[in-house]
Amino acid sequence: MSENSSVLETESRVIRPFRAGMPNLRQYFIDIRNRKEFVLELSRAERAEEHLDTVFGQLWSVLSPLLSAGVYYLFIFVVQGGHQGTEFFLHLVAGIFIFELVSTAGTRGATSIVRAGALINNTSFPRVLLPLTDILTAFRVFLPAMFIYAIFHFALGAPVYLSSLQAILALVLLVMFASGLAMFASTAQVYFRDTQALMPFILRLTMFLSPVLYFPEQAKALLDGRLLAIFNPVFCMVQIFSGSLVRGDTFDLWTWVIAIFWATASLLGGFWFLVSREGEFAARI
Amino acid sequence: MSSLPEFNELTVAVRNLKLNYKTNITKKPNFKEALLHFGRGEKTAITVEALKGVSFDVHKGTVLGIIGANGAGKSTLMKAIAGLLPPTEGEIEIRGKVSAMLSLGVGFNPNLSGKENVVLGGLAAGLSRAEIDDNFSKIVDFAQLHDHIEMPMRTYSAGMYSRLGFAVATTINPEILLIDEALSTGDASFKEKSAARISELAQQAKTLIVVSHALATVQELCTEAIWLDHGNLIGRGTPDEVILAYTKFLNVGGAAIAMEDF
Repeated sequence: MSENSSVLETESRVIRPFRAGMPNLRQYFIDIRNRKEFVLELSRAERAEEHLDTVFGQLWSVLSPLLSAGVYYLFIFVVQGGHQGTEFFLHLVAGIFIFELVSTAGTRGATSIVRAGALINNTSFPRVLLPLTDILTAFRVFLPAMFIYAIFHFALGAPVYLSSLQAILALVLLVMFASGLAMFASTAQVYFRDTQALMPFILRLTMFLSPVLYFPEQAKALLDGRLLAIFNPVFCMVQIFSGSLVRGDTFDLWTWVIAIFWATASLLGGFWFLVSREGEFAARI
Repeated sequence: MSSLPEFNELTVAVRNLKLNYKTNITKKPNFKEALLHFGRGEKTAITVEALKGVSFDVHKGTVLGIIGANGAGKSTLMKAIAGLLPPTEGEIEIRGKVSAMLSLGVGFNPNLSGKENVVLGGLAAGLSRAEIDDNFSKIVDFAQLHDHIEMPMRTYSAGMYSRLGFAVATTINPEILLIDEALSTGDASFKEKSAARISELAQQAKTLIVVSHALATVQELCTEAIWLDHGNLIGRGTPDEVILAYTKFLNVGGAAIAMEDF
């Protein structure tokens, strides 16, 4: 992007070399703000393309993680040799649904820049909007999933807790993390076109190392899960989301600090990685 | 080359523009390739010195043709003016709204309809939805795609892509229009129509910068021309002067084949 890249809005400007590999960030954020409509329209068009804007399309998008939850529940039922209880089932569904948001952001986001090659080679605009559009799409697919979760929650007679409101903050942190992941993966895909193929393995590994298929206190490896909580970026976010929603748990300051740290690090790191590289995209794609 | 008469207002000033970029050696770089190259101690990307200190001005109402052999830096120069590739050194001053038809123009998602691609391309360029809606029927009319505009662009021919891209780029009322090789595709009637549109825009005191290998197109449409070779500005002047110098350099004289395809 040029230093002043809002081409059709600015009457006069000077395009200069990037300083320290970065464009003028003030102008960059102005350009992002001026293209909100682009993000909304692109997300709408892509959802329509995949029929995610229809009732059946949305049901289908929810059915996939729901079936995954069913399969994992059956697997755990067989391994543990019995019914794990309502609480565990809700924890599993909430965990799978929230992880689907991260997973969709990572896999869709990985191709967001490469698949917009023609636009990148023709039009000057902040490239960060492309992965952010995929985050918006993933979030819009996630919302009906939470509606399905709510049906399970009430149908199974689970109580409602005031502390469940913490799940909203955890969701914000997870969206921040997913945004950073999508920005990072989309940039890496420009340099290594098989990044997208690696993402499912990385994401599945991350899911197994997160409290999705088990409660956080059931993690016994790596100092009873303490190292997992520190070094797995999404561990604490998933723990807060599911724990507060299903059991009304509250969390110590340390858990929140780790969650906030990883969400912020991912968002800022992903943004920096993409923006510092985007001057090369028109030559690399 | 003789000095040109000064047109009135400056719209594009390219000052000592140097532009290096890194590009992948393989078409689709991947981890496996990277590891293999790393194992052999080879690089996976090369740095291209595409522009080596180019300076020129363009004034209102000018149709500037850029000619030169493959690898001369023509497309890189257009991408730099469009703000797609940042300069390594030097600067580009732009006075006015820029519209570009580089590469494929519109049509970045072939699974979306022509209409959706037009809207998304316009929004990405910074236009408002109202501006796009106001111009949409004019775009469809010019591109002659009434029956296809709601169809996915993967069903379009190369000519249809080209017509739609040209229609979008020229209809949104830019002060500066960049066209890279877009005029070489499409049938004879489209070429005639697009040439008429270019003349019309020039008469409205718009600035046009055109890259074309077809020297006859440059001679016919342009009021000025520059010749690039290996990232250097070799010559500037009227199209006749620059084309003559260029064809002499290529040692092909004014042969018809050179006029059509160099």
